[in-house]
Amino acid sequence: MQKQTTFNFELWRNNDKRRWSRLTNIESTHVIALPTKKIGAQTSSDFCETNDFIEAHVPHLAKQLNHINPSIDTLSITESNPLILDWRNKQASQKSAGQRLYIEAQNGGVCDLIELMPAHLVSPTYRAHEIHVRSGTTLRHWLLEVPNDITQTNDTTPCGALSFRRTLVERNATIERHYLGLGHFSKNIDHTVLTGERAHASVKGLFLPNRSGAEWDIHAHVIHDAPQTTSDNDFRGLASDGGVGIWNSIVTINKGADGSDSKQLNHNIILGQKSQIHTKPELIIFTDDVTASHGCTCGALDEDALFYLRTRGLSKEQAELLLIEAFLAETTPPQPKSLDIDIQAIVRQHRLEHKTIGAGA
Amino acid sequence: MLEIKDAVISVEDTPIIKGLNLSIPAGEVHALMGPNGAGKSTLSKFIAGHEDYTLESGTISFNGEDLSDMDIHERAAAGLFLGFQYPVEIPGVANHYFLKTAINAQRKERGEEELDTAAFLKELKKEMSELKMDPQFKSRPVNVGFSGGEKKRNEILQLALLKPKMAILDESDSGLDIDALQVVAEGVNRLRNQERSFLLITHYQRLLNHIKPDVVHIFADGVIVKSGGFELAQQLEAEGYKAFA
Repeated sequence: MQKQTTFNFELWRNNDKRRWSRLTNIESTHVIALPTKKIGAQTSSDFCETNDFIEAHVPHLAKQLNHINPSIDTLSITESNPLILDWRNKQASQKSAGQRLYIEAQNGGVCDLIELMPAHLVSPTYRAHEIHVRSGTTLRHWLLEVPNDITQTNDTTPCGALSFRRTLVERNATIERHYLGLGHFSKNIDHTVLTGERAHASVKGLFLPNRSGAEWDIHAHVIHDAPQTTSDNDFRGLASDGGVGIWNSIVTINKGADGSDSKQLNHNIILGQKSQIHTKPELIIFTDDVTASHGCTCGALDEDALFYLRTRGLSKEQAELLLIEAFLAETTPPQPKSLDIDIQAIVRQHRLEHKTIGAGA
Repeated sequence: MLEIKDAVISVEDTPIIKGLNLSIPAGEVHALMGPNGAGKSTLSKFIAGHEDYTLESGTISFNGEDLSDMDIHERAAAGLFLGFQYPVEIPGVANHYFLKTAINAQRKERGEEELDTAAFLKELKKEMSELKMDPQFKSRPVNVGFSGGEKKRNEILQLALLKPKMAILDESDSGLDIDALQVVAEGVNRLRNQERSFLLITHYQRLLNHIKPDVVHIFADGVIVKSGGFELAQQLEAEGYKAFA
């Protein structure tokens, strides 16, 4: 029988910092010090009230939460019955939205958490999420930016999302994160602490900024704070038509975290003259007995492979698309069984929007 | 079928082929032999349509059609096939997916109906067993981790499935052991017929012992210095390229 994992689920009230301070190593200043000005995020007093927020963003949860303890609620989540947080609703896109969320996964087993976010925002969004994976539990976390229709609103000035995610992973626990970045302007600060032995963090994904002004940014910091902890950061980026992709992976291996193993990888393709990729792996190691590898590449499509495919009958555009598809497949988020959105199809559609392809990149 | 007249072909304004005349009628197998640096690979890539090679003067036509205006994939659909000396590895693309995409891209270009999956897989299975290829190569990424012999076999597999009117095989014998050479040669011989022509580009006579050419051309410094029958290849093997330079 499938083991049920329990989520302790809490949405914060305004200015309630109890949760942050209760957890070790976290100072509330971490949250406040974020460069919110850059995307015009509002101060905390503008955040939605908790109850409104639940009603507005996760109506299906509101029902469940109402008859449980109003501040901390427990949901049973399994692989086949994931928690889906859909942030795409209309109110969220029209109103300055701030989201604070605390999630605790416990009781062992595997549980899935899927967040769906609008790719195009018309108002700035600020997210501060904290996740605690208790010992022996595996949390699989999808962070998917999904195309949304922005033609309905008059104001189509692109806005940004600033997301701060803090994750604590205990002994024998795993966090597995899958990003899909299609957004106009999205900055992700992903901070993970491996606090117990053999804890594992995997942060993988794709980013595909495909227009001038589009900027997708991830700063992922993993701190190995216990022996035999492992981490794996693997992103692929495709910047085209003036889009900008930023990948920065920092791994800190603290004293005492012996036998730790970390991998950092980032491969990118740049199409079009004004597109940019900024890639930087960083390693900070305070102990001797560790394995750490890193690698980054940036380049255009392989000319020899393109010629080969074209001599077999594929047009230039078909050959380019096939090579890009193959390139992206490596870190495309896996399809959760219970999700009715086809991730591959979204990626394919987004890829087709790259204007440079077939036009002599 | 393939007619090249007085062709001068250059790369970045440097002429590599300096006045080439070559005519290959339907159903014939021609061998082009020459030393390193003679321009053999330049010629094969040029015929396939590589954009780095420019036709400065002269003409090139295929079945009466002027090739110089045709894109690479249009030449493929018209029935030209180039077997690579170094087949390119394409990570992330399964071999069968690549083959099916190529077949259907060509069919579509010619205005033919696309091949359905069942018919394709049946044919793929048959051709792979003819070439004694392990079935696992069907789903492995194109040429990734293939040995030299497996890559060349994979080229012949493509030749068998794409059924071109004319195949140019660029050094298909290089890097092959005797057994693999035999398999490749058998593949080519099986695909020989009265309509299909071949241009074999090679350094050595070895391949020609297995695939008997109708005409042998000796190619040096961008021009054909001598043409003849199979005996020319034997003479070359005995005397070396110096005798013809």
